[in-house]
Amino acid sequence: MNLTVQARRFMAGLLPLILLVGLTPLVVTNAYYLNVLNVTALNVLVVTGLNLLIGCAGQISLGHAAFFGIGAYVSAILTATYGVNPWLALVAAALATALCALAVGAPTLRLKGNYLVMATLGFNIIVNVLLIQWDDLTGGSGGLTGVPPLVLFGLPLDTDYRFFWLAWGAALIGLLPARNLLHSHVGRALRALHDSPAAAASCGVPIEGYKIKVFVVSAVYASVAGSLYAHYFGIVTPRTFDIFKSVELVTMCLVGGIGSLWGGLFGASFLTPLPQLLHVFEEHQDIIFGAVLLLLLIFLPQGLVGRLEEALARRGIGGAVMPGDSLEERP
Amino acid sequence: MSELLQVSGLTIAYGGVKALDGLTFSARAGEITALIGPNGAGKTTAINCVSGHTRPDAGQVLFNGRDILGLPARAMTGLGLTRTFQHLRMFGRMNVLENVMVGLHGTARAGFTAAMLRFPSLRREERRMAEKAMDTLSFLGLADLAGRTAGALPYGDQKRLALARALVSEPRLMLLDEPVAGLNTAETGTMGRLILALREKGLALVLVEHDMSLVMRVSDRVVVMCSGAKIADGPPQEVQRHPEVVAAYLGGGKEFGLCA
Repeated sequence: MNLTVQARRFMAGLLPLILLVGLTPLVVTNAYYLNVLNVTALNVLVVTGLNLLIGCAGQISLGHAAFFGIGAYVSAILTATYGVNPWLALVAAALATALCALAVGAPTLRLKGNYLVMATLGFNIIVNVLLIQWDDLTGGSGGLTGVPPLVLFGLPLDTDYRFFWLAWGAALIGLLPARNLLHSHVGRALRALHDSPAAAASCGVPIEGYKIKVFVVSAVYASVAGSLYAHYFGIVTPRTFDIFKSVELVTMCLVGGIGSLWGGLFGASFLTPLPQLLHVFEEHQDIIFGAVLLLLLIFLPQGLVGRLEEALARRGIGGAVMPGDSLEERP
Repeated sequence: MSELLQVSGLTIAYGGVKALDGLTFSARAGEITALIGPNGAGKTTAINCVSGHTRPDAGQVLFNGRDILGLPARAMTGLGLTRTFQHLRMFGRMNVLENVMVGLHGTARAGFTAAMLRFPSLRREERRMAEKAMDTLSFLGLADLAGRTAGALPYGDQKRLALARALVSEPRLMLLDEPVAGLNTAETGTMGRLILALREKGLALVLVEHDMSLVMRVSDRVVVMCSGAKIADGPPQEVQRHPEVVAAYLGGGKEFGLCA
């Protein structure tokens, strides 16, 4: 399969999705459902970035909630406390997050082995403690309130309906750079260094540099989602960005299918609303949530999208519905 | 003809064991230099030192007159030095064309930003790489397999694919680590012809190989190693008659690896 075919397949998958997203607000008018969908979109954005890291470089980050949180808090503090323009704050937050990711990633990604898991785990805990303890700046455990909504073309995005367009717009547009990266020499190099670092090096791939860069890129995805989150809810609290959020994000990648951008999208879209749906089970909801996860990982270890692609490939219609955009090209 | 690769005094010890003990050899453009010797003689270690994957304790590696020892492995392809691996190390989940395109990574100018935003310069580069990779695949008779998943190919095709990946960047020197190991007679014949064709193109080739009939057929020079040191060096016919080589290879009371 040549590269332009892959690109066309991706677009063929994206168009129905855009249509689906575009039609949703016509059907779903309940503010609560829209809110769940908006949070889903933000999760999709984070997971898209995280999937680049996990799927390409083969490194797992348990600190993406921290990057999500840094984006949210920098945006919140700059706009609520210092009155900075929200869009400017978003860019500043992304830069700050990139620097943090560089500081965490540069020393650890040079080491062989999965030291990134430990480093990011520690980083997330430190960030969380800082968010709680540095209360002059962050508002402490109660959080920071009064974050203004984003304004787009003079229109304040202060309702669930209005924010829906921005959130899903960002989630879908966010897929494009990720897809572009995967289908470039950089993406191939990242997959190569995952398979064989020695051979990749012989091909001229700067292994450590690429791992660090893809980690920074994935952190920036989380940061942008965090900034959007802060302006949407108008309040940021430390608990939103704790280690459990990081685990949840990695789980979304796993459930959807590692290394497949569609997988991330579906993982986030499935797991974000699931706890809300399980509310009907009241006190049993956590048990059922855990059981669903277990069953998924036992019976669909390759993820929702991975399984679907396999089934399609077996019937000889691989990619007809779901673009073959998975990193794991199947014959 | 001048020496393209000059290796001298390579020494490396793991614990108390000397894997290389003052190894000296050279390779010329348009020639095939074979490194042979019993298992554990240090042939692959020697290649790893030249390709930047292993850092020797002492010695010198001059490539085109330049000291390349200490340069990282990723710098080698840019200088015109590539290699294949004994255990292939294909990028199994990618397709054949993509595997070969990775071999051109050293020639890519565009970075992360250009790739994510898909600048026109990147598209041109992608096209150029795809065309170049297809040319190389055609040369090696793999063009029909371009879209196939590399990891699912028969072993013989994977061997040629490994060659394609190293060849695509138009190196001046290729290090081939056991290119015919595991191949059947017909495949070995094909690989031998390809290696000779590369020599015709003026490449310098360093060949590590256990298949003696191939080595004797294609090599211009044979370097015989034993316990990390060179015991003989010369044209194949001469080396074959060398008493130490005969002793190391054909027995004469000594088993493999027990030579002095």
